[in-house]
Amino acid sequence: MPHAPTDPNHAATSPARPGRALVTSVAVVVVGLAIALIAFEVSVYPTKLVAQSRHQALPAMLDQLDAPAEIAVMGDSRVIHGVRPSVIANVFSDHLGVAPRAVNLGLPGAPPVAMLGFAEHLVARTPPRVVVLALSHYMFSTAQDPQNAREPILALFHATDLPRALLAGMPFEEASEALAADLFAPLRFRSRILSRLLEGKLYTDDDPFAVTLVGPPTEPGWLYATRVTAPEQRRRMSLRAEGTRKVMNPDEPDSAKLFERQFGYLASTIALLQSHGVRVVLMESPTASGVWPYLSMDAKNLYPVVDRRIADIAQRYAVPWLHHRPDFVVPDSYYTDGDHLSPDGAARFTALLTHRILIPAWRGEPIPAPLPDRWTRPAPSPNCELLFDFEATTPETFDTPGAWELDGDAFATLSVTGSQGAQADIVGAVGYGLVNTATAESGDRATGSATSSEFVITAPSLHLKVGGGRFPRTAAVVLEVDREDGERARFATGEQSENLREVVWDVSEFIGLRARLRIIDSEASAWGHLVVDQIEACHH
Amino acid sequence: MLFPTWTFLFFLVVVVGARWLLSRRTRRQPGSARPCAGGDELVRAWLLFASYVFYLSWGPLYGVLLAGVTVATWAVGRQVGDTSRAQPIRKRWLVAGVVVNLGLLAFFKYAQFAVDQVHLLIAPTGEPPPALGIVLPLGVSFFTFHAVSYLVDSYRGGEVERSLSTFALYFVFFPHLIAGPIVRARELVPQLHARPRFDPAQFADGIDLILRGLVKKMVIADRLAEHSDKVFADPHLYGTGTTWLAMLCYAGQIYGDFSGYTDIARGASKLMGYEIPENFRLPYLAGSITEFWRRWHMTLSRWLRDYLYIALGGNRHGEARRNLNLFLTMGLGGLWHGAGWTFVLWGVFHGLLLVLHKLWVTVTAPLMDRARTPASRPLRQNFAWRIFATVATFCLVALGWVLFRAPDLDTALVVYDRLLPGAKSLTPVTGLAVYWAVLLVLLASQLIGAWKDGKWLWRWLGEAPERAWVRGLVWLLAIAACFFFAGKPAEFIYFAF
Repeated sequence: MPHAPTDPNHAATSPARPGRALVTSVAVVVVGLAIALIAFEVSVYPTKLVAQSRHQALPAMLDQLDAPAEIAVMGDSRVIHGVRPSVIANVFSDHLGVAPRAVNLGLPGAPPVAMLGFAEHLVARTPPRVVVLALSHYMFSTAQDPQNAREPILALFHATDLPRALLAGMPFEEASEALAADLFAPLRFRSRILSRLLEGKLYTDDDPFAVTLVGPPTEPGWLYATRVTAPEQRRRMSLRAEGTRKVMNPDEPDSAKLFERQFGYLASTIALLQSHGVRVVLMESPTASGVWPYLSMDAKNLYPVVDRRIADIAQRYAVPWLHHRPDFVVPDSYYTDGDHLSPDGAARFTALLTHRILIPAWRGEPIPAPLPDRWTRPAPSPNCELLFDFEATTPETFDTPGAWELDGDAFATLSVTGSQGAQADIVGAVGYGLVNTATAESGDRATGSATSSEFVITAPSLHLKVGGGRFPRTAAVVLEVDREDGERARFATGEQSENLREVVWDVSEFIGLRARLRIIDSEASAWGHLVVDQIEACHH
Repeated sequence: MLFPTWTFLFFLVVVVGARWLLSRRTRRQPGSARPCAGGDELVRAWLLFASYVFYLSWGPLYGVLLAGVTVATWAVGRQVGDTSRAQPIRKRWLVAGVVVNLGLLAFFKYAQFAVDQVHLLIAPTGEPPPALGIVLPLGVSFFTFHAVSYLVDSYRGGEVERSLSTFALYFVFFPHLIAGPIVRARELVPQLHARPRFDPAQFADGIDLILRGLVKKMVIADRLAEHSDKVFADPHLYGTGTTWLAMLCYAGQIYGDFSGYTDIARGASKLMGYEIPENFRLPYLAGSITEFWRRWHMTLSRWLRDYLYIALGGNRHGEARRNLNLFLTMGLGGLWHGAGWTFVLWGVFHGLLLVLHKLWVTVTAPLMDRARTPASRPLRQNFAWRIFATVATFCLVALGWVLFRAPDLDTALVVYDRLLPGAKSLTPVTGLAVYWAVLLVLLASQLIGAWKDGKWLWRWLGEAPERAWVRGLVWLLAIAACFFFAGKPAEFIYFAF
């Protein structure tokens, strides 16, 4: 009973040779679509449209590199502006005599599915030696606008990638869309084509939308972020926090599914890369401390959960997970807003990244162990009050705001962790953070000064740990007190050793006076550095 | 698995392809010119499996419920339709079956609503009502209505299906499962028993319908939704003109959405060789509210008429009783759409319009018959009169949609207030031209459809194979429209009912 009488049209539409008619109609559609596809592919528009989206442009850039990428850093826009491939190459060249091809694969928003897409793209060619996945909590804890979330799925996945993506938790809807976009390329650009059409600008010869989205050839993937004034920075931080994506609620079923899916993508990314012999490191994205107060409580409450989940995955796949690291701290002044490093800041951050992660990973050496989830300060000694422990490295206060004035290249940050570059191991430090005027980039040649804010001396002795070179005039910790002869009231140096010695200053005669500490290093010769830690005011 | 998604397209290609391959396989036994025994059981099993895959793709939670209702309705239907039994016993089975089905519907759909109302009456102000945490199973309003219609038809002497698998396929056939049309057993079951050959003309009709439905949903409904959603979310911000546009947009949206869904459902069904009834026949060109309900959601109107209005007594007990029955039927019909007073009021509003129309016809019939145009034709047949009646009907229907769309009564009242002349916009509004353009396209398509009942176009396209290329071009055009002009994808409105 092929035709029921309920269909009023049908009787009128049965042609004499319906089979041939159907084939003809379908053929017209197939040929029409094929012509549209070919016309699109041979036109200038794929190139133009690819250039308008970083999601599309980065895979194209990878294909066009003169040599395969050996080091890749994936992450969000913090990576886009914060990781400079040229610095990686330079630091490698200085220390190891090789200059590996590094690429910045940061994507705006960077949902974990984008990392899986890039991983597929990388292993389909010559896999890199090291891949750093820079993670931010919000990537896991917030939901993107569905339209934006589709961009990486349409741009990065091919039909052959989809089985793994499905196993990682990708919904069929999204996988189907990716498959369709892989079969019919214009679908990748649908929304862009439409908006250009509505603006009437698709067919202009000079493309007003063509912007450089992949950086200069010497810095593949890195984008310049202009520095802004402090008030503008605060304004942007506030705006960015207000525009934060919707925070997921793991108690709500749909949200919980989406939340779980993010970790599935991360785990699959690591597994895929490891199966191709890639060394994977997980790292927290560089973030200015100033953005933290603007985050909602919902987001902040979810962060420990995200931390734990990432730590579990890191443990399962035996990959380092570096977060809350004081040695990755770049002062807020190097951020153009809450998230994005200026070119100088990016150079500093990338140098740190290269020394701490990329070089050990490249050599196959162990990477410094991850820190505990919750950073706790070591307690001061009995009967002492803590003045400075240089451990102010929780997410709330990445730096010690206003406490120290920094000057010179010895101080990318006030505090760092452990030895820098070729420096011998430091022994006797308390906690993780300390002051070290030797830097990874310049070693003993780095110079500068750090001056504390003023404090009142209330105890008879000051205890501090000091190491490094013995240069009383040019590299010393100096106590200045508010007295006529107080410019160099006390000072201490190292003993040409990285073993920190306990220095005790009798300051009973200065009780009640205002004072400040200066860490001065103007010495550029061998041992021309200082290491300082744990300064306490003691009542004994 | 929404219809306008690639997942559904791939699913449909696999299901339809396998359906015809299995059909060929069961048609002939090897070395024999005769069809194999058992007919298309394999086909039915495949389609049943596919229907459950489709339903479970929304979440596995209520698959068991659907299966349970299917088996129970089939079993009860056999008792109800067993004419060898005494009628009181059959009636008891019928009542039990109907009560269980409507009970399920009441529990899943209205329990929270009922609790909220009781709470409102007895609890102190400000205390939130207890949350029952009941999740509405997808399509429950439709499959319970299918069950009731099957049981009542069985009681009234309709065919009782003996095969559980065939009944189950009728019951859960995926094109109509989630949002109708509400298909009667006698419309689909005989087709499932038959062994349809692949009919290219029917197949082409199916593609026609699917593409038409996609355009209605993706290009018209989803695009118009952008404006109506914005205004209904915060109506006090918008002025008179913008609010009127939002109301018109919603009228266009709900038509494009629901009739688009039905077109895709019917088209998908045709691709598999089955016909399911149409649900919309240019409803906004209706010249009266009575005619509107003969053109809008026709299978629901039919269900309400046959199983509720007539059961209440219909027009057999005088005008007053008829009017009361109309109110009740439309009020319950409104409630069927959603557990909320806005839906009830929407239904009652339509009930009132129907009663008023009947009164109007009664009072004016002699006058209208006597009134003549200059060309000596009855006024009722006059073109200008028809346009006036159509516009007036549409305006009333559109005003009713405000109740249907508003999340609560307060919002609806604000919208009605903003529809009055003089309301000023409190926010800058731009980019409305695209919505007017879409509405104009919708109007044009309705007028084209009305001309010679729309058959001229499809007749011209379909009657000669040499014009098949034109039909192909029309398909290409539809695909291009979906590609270029689709709004943000959204669920079908009627999935929520």
